[in-house]
Amino acid sequence: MKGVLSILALLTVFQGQVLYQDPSHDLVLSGKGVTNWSGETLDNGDLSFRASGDPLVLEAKNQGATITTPRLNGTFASAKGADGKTMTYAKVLHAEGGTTTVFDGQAAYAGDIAKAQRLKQPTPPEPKEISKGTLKTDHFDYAGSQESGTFTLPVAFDVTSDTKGMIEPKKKGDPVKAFLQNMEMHGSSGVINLNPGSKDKKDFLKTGHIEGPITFHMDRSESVAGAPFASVGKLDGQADKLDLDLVTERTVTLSGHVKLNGDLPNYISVTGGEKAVLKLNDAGEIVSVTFTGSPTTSTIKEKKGGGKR
Amino acid sequence: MKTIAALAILALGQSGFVYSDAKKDLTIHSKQGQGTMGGTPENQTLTLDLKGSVQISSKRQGFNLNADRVQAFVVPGQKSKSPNEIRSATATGQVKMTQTGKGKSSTIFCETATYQTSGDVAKVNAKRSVRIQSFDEKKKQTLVGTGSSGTATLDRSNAGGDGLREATLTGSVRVDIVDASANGGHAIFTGDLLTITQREITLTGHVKGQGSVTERLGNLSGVNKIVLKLNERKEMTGFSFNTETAN
Repeated sequence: MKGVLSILALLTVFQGQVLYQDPSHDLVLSGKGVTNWSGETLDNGDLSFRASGDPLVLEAKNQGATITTPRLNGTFASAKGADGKTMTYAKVLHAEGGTTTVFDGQAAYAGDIAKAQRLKQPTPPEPKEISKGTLKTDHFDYAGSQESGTFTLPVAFDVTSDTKGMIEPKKKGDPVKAFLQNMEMHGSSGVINLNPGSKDKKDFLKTGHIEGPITFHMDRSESVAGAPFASVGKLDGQADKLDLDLVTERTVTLSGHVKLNGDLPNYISVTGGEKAVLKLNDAGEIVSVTFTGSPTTSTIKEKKGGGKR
Repeated sequence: MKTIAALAILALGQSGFVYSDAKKDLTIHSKQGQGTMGGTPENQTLTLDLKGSVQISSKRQGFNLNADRVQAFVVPGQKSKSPNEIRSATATGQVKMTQTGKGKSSTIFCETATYQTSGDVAKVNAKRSVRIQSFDEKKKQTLVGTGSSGTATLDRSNAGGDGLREATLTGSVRVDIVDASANGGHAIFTGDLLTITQREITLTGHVKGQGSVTERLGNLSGVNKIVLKLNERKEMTGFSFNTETAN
């Protein structure tokens, strides 16, 4: 099975013409059916560019990020990183015409391994969690540095995220747990801050503000000691606004016409709430849900054998 | 009209052909040589056919020419009655032509070349394995352009200019240039046509770029035209490129 997947992966590798490649080969812009490719160096040394293709693909291998779009313009910049090595990164981007952006933690890890081999450094340890996120929208603006970046999404977008990982036993003798967590979200516009160059590849999503109407779905399943995965919770929601803070408070705050329908350790059903705050732990699990306002209906029931809310 | 043999005899104790004008502005050495004086007593000219390790050096022109064979027409420059300035030349075999100006210089290497002065410049037509090198005031090489054939316009005086005013190379062209922003790093560009002017280099047709030590450029391809901006030392300070294909 693994071999078949590898072959499929090879077959799906983008085979367009390479237009630009930075000195470390981490940042690569390629395209099929390229109809425009132009640019110039700026006074500060940045490289400004404009390109059209069917499609274009911009890969930031060390970040595990891939943007697929028919039209892309922006600037590439170079600066020395914390390790003293020069890194070229996308400083400004504007993509339009139907875009797909993928953040693949596995690909980022593969990029780290390749970089370590190139620099003859020790192989980096495998991360305990790997996420793959996909952002689809007609057009967006991006502004970033080596370590962080901000997506401005002026029109409707869809985000999906799949995370898999291991949960270390809390005490000696407890079995090791593996988990799968999926998330889908639709928003009308928003701003999302990422930290794709972080050493911690699991949480590239940092903060964000999203305007609605917003709909989302989350589900999580776990496997204990190698047993088949079983659902341990799911949550569907709607709201007018969503604020994300995975840096300090680790909260997802929903505002305006909040609807939640979840099967978490507690069963949750809320309709018409003004605000709901979902608190997450380091493993991305929802550990508490706090409501404010006067929901038209609200049901929170402790499941038999479930944990406390 | 008399032959140059009498002048060649001046090179006592030396083998081969030697010529210099009265002020030694122009000196010529070769293994074999034949020349014909012409013109008038006030305006003497010299027609030369030189063979074997030919070396021509003009201090006033800031010009040096080395080749296996050179046929040259020499005329008196300003305030000179004797021939001391190369008006035209045809050189073949391991041709090396250097023009110096304001401390900077450019050298053209090729297999055959013609040289023709016109006003304050000289036109060069070079063929077969052409290489143009430019050096800054510290004699440090700043760019090398290569092609299968090309033309060049050189300054005709060492008193001004950069030596090389402009050049065009054709065939499979390549330029290796110092990137001023990359601490001495180089960038290499290839294409079908290369034009060098005092402040720009333009490559067109199937252009590719590759940085060696440069921080901003790894590889650039899929480009139809690129313009490299140069500083006074003929180092690259930036570039612009485009590829626009009709749909």
